[in-house]
Amino acid sequence: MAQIFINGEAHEVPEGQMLIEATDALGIDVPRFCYHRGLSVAANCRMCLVEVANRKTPAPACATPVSEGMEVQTHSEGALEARRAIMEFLLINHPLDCPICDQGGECDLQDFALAHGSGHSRYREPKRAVADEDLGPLIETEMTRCIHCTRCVRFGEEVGGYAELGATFRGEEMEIGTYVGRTVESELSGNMIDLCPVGALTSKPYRYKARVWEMRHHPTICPHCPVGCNMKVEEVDDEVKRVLPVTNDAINEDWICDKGRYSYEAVHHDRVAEPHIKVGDRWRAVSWETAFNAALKGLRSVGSDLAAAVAPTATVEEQWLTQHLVRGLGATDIDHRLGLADPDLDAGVANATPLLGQRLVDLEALDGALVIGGNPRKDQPLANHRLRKAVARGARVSALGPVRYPRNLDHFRDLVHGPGQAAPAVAAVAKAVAEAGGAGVPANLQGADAEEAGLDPREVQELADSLIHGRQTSVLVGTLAQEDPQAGELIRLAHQAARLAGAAFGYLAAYGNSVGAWATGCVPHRGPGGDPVREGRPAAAFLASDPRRGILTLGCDPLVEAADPVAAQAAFEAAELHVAITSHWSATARAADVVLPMAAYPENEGAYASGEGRLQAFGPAASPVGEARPAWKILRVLAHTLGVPESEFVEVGEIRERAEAALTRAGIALGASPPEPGPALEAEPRSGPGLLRVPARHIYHDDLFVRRAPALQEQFGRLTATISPEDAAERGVDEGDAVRFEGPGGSARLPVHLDGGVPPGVAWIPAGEDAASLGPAFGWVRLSDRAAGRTGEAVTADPSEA
Amino acid sequence: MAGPRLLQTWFLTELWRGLMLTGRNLFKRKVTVQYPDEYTPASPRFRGLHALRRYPNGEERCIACKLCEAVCPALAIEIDSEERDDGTRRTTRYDIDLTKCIYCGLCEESCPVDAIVETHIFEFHGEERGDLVYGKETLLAIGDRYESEIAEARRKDAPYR
Amino acid sequence: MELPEPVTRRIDQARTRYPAEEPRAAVIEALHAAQDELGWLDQPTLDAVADYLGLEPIKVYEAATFYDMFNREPVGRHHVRVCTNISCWLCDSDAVTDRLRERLGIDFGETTSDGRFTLTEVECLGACGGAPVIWIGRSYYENATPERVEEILDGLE
Repeated sequence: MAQIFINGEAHEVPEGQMLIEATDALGIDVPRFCYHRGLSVAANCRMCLVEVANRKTPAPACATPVSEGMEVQTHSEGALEARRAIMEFLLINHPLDCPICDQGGECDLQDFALAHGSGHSRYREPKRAVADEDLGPLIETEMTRCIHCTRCVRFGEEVGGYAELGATFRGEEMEIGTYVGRTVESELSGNMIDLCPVGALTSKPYRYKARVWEMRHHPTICPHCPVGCNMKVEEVDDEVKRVLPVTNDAINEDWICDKGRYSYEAVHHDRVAEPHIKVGDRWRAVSWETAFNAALKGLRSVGSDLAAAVAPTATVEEQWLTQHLVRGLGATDIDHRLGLADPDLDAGVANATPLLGQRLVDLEALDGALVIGGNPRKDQPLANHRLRKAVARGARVSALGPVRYPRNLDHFRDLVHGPGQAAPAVAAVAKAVAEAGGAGVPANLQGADAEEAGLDPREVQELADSLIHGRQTSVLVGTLAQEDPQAGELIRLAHQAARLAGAAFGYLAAYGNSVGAWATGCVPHRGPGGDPVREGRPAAAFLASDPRRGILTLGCDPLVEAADPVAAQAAFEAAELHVAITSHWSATARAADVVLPMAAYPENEGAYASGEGRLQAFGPAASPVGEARPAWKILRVLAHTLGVPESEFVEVGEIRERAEAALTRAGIALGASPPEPGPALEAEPRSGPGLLRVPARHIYHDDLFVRRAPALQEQFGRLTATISPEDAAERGVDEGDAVRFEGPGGSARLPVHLDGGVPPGVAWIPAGEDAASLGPAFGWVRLSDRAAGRTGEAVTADPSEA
Repeated sequence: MAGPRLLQTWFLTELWRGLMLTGRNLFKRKVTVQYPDEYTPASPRFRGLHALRRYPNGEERCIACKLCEAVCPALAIEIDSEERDDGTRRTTRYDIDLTKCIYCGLCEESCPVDAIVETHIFEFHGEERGDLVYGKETLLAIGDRYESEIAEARRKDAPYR
Repeated sequence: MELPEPVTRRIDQARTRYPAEEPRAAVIEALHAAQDELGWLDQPTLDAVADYLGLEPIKVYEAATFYDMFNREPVGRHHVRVCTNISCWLCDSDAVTDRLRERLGIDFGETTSDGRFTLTEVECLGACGGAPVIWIGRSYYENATPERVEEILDGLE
């Protein structure tokens, strides 16, 4: 600690800290444009000039380390004069268009011009104008307003992990942009808008929609991924206008990903605004009473022959209540893991509650990690950010998966296993860990062989070493691996590898409330909190070959998200009754008999259990669209009317109490370790006549809500099949060709992208609307005989027609 | 002191004094204005009915900055904005509730583009309450119709601003 | 596009002078190498340099646009650069530039239709002692006068 004097007062501050960090911690106001606590120091705006005793010139507080006995004046005449001069320079070329600028009202330049600037301008010469670049559907530019603080540039480099924006040209001609006018593709790009201290970068979907002072803020939790970012929804007259991050150093720091930021747009698109029933082939909008009567009649007639598919993005209350309803009716089939392709997971692993096994901040402190079958950059962007920070500190983070994803952090080893060899590859790693540990290779790993799994034994060995020789290491099972047909065995082996290496074991869950869904009993074999129940069958069964007479879907779209959408279609056709509680129209809603409109997440209240085991509650930001109601109210009425005992809930809090109790019984707590997996059943090797399909989802095509957000869908473009250049050459296919793929369930025409990160024999086709017709997500695909359809024929990508 | 008082009473001096005042004013210039046949002169700063102005090329001035909405002490203004097809910021709704308005003129003062103005018109009515909520089209029409008067008033006031 | 062999050789050479984990250090050297070989730097070339160094393309664009010595437009066989900064200007660089413009029939930033000459106005070339200065190819021509301009241009093919 060093003693410094700020404005004459003595303060103890940590030595080596920059002055601005000290003043920020002490709550002393020093204006700044270029400094941001999450970025490196650039000291190019000079707005934070302060006077330091015994220095001839004012010093930038952001780049002046504190030292013992330093005397600083932050608001002396000299300091204010220096800032006034800086403001004058900054305003020389800044346009006076505040009235039409979306930043107006929350603009640092505006605020500081008022606080530190001069009342009039001495500048009479023409101002500089800069042409705008189109940075894609998410970011709007007005580069004439730019003051060259380079926060966006540094963000792209340091947090985004890939520099897309830069400062081209020099001096007065300096411009911030991509130089070539390409779309900014970072999944964290929206944060540049928050960082921009002026209105140069603003949100495109929010453009001109509202002014900051008229909006009301409602804290909320992001439903999309298990990080559980803290956000706020901003609304005017009950209409959601935008979403911004709320700083929480334990979770998302100052950032959120674009999925969380822009998905709110779905609130206004393709919503089910009224209850509907299907009469013959036509939909009829009806009153709640009529719709309820239809649903109740159907549910009474199917009785216990009912199955329920629950969205892993539903709140714990909704999940608890759904299983309460379903089990209260005597039914057993309930699941939230629609994409799970391993039918034996429950019999083997038994409890795969996807806890992270550590706190998010602990990821930063790791010095070795292995991510198996996942792409945290796109699946859990802010968990990935923690891993990036660990790498910057020198951690050795490795990856193992069916394809090599485009990364934004330097992996120590980025291994790609052979097609369909997920579990054997993990076995090889576990074996290498055991060998390196020197404690002997366990019996079940004796047969493991790196080369057979398509891996380089030397690299596996190095990876194993990095896991063993770390103070704090972690083995993380990624999103894709949790759904793999070999998931059970893979999880078991990954856990074993972690054990052998002395590393923490955890999961990177797929959705915002996957953990809650497990703990509240939205799995067929475990009740709330793991209570024993009459065992049912997983989604892979009841949404496929062996349907029930009645199906209830809550907030999900199995006709896109199921492990086999084609089989799910057959199941829906076979069912007598399909009640869909949904916020949006979807293929599933259209296939239903009764559609009950539910509130979307900004209109809902409830809680999500995040991957690190944090239960975070949130309230509604706006009223539900049209006649829609929060799902817990719908479920309550259904349960109560059908005579399910203990269903008289008046407030969501009463349900939360029960859900929370279930979470506690299930051992969900901050940083809790996931349960130890049981002995897995041996998985069947995957094979097929063509390329093995890897269905890793796209960040903007992940859940129903995101799929209805227009700007994100524009950024997403079209569902693309990525294949290896070798396979492409063999079949005479080129980049961008629209090719008809045939799968076990049917065919789909998809544009092709070539990427060396995909090994030969594999086709990376994300699960999604355009690919649903192929059948099993973890299936195979064959390029149709008339393979390269270079006719320029457009691929139909109308989401409403799926 | 009884003498003068008695004299005053008997000679009706107060009455004569009063009649003299009347007599004097009988021949002065009259101040009464025969409204509605006649009008008192209004200052160019008179704050009456609102109008939205256009530029000479026909483009509406309002850029939907919502400063008037923010500054309005009576919360009489409601604006919705959107990006128009040509990329400019425009209102999709501009409502003034004239039953709420207190004619303080702050909207006019706050407007960076002189779009919302208060005209010299004070004779307007509605037969129902809702009639006094003026929308964008009406306000623009008022502006179009009285543009010359509005411009003239602004010109006269300009030296004092 | 692939960089020609002489360019990559020079880049490799330059890389040896800097820490291996800092490929950005070699950007300027790499751009000089590419320009010497190809005459000017179009965007595919910049992308190729970025690719070769393993950098994000924007890092290379930044360097290429920052420095005036990098030509981002095609130039003629002889790139005539005249200093018009204070020292040269005081020594009547105006007469020199006037004669150049007249003789070549082009203005600053333009190339003659036969592709022989490109005329550029530049800032100080660091040879104020011999003002005004003209820089063509690998040579500096000091104490330039309108007459000498004729001489110099006549000497170039």
